[in-house]
Amino acid sequence: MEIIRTENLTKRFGGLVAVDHVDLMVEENQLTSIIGPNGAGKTTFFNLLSGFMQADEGKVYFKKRDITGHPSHRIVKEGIARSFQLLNIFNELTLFENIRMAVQAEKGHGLELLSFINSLGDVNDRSFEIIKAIGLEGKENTTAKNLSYGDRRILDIGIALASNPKLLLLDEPTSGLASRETGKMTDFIQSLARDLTLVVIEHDMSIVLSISDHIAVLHQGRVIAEGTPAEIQQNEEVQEAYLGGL
Amino acid sequence: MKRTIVKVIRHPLPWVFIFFLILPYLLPFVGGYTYLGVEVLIWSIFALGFNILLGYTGLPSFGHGAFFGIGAFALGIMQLRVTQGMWIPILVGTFAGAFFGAVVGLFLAKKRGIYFALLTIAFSQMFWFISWGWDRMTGGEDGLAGINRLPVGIPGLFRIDMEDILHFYYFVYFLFIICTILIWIIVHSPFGRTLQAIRYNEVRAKAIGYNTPLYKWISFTLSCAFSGLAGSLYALLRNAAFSDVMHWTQSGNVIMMVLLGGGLTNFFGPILGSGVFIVLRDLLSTLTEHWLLIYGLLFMAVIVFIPEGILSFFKRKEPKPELLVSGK
Amino acid sequence: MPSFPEFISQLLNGLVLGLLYALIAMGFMLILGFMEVINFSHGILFAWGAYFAFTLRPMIGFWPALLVSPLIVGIMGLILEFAVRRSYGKDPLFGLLLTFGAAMALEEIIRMIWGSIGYTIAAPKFVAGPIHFGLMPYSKYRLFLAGLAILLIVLVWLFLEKTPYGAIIKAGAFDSEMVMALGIDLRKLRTLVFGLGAALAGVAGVIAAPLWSIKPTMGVEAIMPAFVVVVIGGVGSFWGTVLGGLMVGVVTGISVMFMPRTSQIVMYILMAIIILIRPRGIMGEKSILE
Repeated sequence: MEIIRTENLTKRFGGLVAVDHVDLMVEENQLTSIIGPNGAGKTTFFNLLSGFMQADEGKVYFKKRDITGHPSHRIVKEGIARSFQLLNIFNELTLFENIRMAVQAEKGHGLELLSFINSLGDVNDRSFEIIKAIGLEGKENTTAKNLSYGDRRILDIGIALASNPKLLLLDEPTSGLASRETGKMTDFIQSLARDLTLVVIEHDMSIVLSISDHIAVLHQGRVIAEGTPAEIQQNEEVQEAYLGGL
Repeated sequence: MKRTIVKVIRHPLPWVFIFFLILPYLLPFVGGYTYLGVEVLIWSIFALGFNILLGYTGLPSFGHGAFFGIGAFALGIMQLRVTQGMWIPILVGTFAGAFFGAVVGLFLAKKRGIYFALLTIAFSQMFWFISWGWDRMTGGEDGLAGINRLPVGIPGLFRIDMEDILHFYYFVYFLFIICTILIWIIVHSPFGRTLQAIRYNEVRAKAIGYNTPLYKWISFTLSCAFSGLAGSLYALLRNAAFSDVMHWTQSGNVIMMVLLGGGLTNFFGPILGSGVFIVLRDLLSTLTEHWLLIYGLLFMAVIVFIPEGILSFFKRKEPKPELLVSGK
Repeated sequence: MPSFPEFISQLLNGLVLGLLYALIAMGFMLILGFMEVINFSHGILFAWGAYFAFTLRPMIGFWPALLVSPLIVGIMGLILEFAVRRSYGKDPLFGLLLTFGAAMALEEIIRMIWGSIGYTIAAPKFVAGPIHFGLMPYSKYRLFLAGLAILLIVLVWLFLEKTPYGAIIKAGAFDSEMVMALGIDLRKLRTLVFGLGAALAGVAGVIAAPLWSIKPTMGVEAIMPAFVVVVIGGVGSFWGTVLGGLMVGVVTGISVMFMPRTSQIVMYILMAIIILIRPRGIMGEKSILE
């Protein structure tokens, strides 16, 4: 069952075509990885899917509905959430408050001017749930900037999770992690994959090959190959693009 | 019951209210007078409302003096041409601030940082020129004189004359209490938390589902409403509305009050800042006729040495999450 | 309804004013674009230029005053930069407030030295009076001002395009590779740019002095158009500043003809319209300043 599909999706920056007429379909309840060399257009692609940038051409269909051009705050409500390659959390807030901001939005309390935030029981309870689910129990009162880098990366994903998405886009979740923490992150991602559809941008091929149901390879803004991990490993074009990284 | 009392005593708000309740009686001991006290209250309302935008949402408006002035002129025009009263002109002044704030806010909602600041300056200057030039409405250079503080009361029950500065002080004090409580609720509400999230990371706030331009617009409009209210009270205090209330220096003054008092990190900063500002201004102007020079240098010194203000040492404290689970 | 010669004359006035606004905004834009500081004292430095001209011209003559005044104002800018540099990289409000305080202090010093009353200064003899184009007389001084403004704008353009300093300024403060390759000390460059911006304000004040009355509040009359020009033209854009200046000048000039009472606010209406159509200004790009 298709969950998200792009048709002819194109984005240009001046003379550079960052995303070049991409047709991609993602199956529900699968983990799809997007790989490709630096500058291949992966993050731009995510930006288009999540409403951070407007496409110049093409369409995006989510659950068969056209969401092209929708702004990011609307797309989140429709069920797509994302994490960021460069850590993008609320550094000055505590871990709890970080998660709570997302839960509050999801439950629609954002425009309440006259209620006390602490009395929103449903928001608080759900926030604790999520913190537990991401394995950061006990650190609720730590200011985000004081958390370890690994924990902050998990928090970045946790915030996206708190939006209760059907589709989760993870942009290089293991970026900058030490090898010890990478294992933790990989397990975490796989646990998420049980209930959600995931699309993951990732550089580490061993991770990609072990967790993915499906892989799409981007190069210079175009999808040059798609398939199962086994198929991609044997694909010559992909090997060329990666200059022997497989 | 006992826990409630303890909570109330621990809370700073009642103490602030008690302080201002007895202020008129304290002032003469330090060489002050009630008029100054009213000014502090009025500027506190202005600065607290402004801080919703600056301290909580992180948007640097450098043109809020315009909305203060709009409130003053709206009250003056109402009183002199439409109805001789107190409540309706004050309401109109507040609403005028909010209305023009809402209109200007439409241009600003998608901006931030330097661009935001530049635009607020330009718009405020435009309003200043309008108030200066539209002399049939605003009296132009001469302003609107003859604004009266009329008696306030409930017909049939009581009437309190407002000409007496002490009575007017408590009238403004009453409004100050309402505003302070209202602003407290707003900034501690889910909406208020969203404003802070926008201040800290607007991109992520959008990414989790907040239509941030809408929130910025509401924050701006609210702050302008309080500016309008403060402006109309100021016109009542001075019995006149001159275009100097809209001058660009007013915009700088209110920022100064917020920063000086530590409003960027503490709810009460704007109140402290207003007090310090009024005291300083009064002291300096008796020292020399060129007090603006000292004021300007002092201004720079504050920015350079204590940009977080006096109350930054008392940063905002929020209740810990564990308390939410165990003992609500 | 103005007659045709009157119309042309006013239009020319608008263009001349526009060139002056572009010149004033130029120095402001350099500091804004390169250091991301809104220099609120830009207007009062303009005023200082005018006041210096007023005082020095009787003593040393027009041309020496034209050279010396901007130099002194430029040095004032260098001194000011020592205080302002603390705000680099911080919330834009800090630089704005610092220069705001400086503007207040500098305006008060003007009052202390020269008093609060306005002065006037006549155009220098060699460009005083009208020049006749057939039936139409036009102010020689205004043409002279236009010529000087164009010359100075061209000089700024040459500086930006042809010198390594200019290359860095155009690239913004962030291309550190280029900076290292050219061997230029960024801190010194920032000080220089601030001084340059101040000097441009000062020279604009000198040449504007015979047209505007010299009073302590003339700084505001210079800084506000500078804000508007930069917003209309696009922050950090050289040609945007030139174009924005001309537009503001012409629009103001036309409104003086037909709706004189609105002449002071038309530039804001123009600005509002432009940012509705092109939110970043005519030639602006998405910048760090948002």
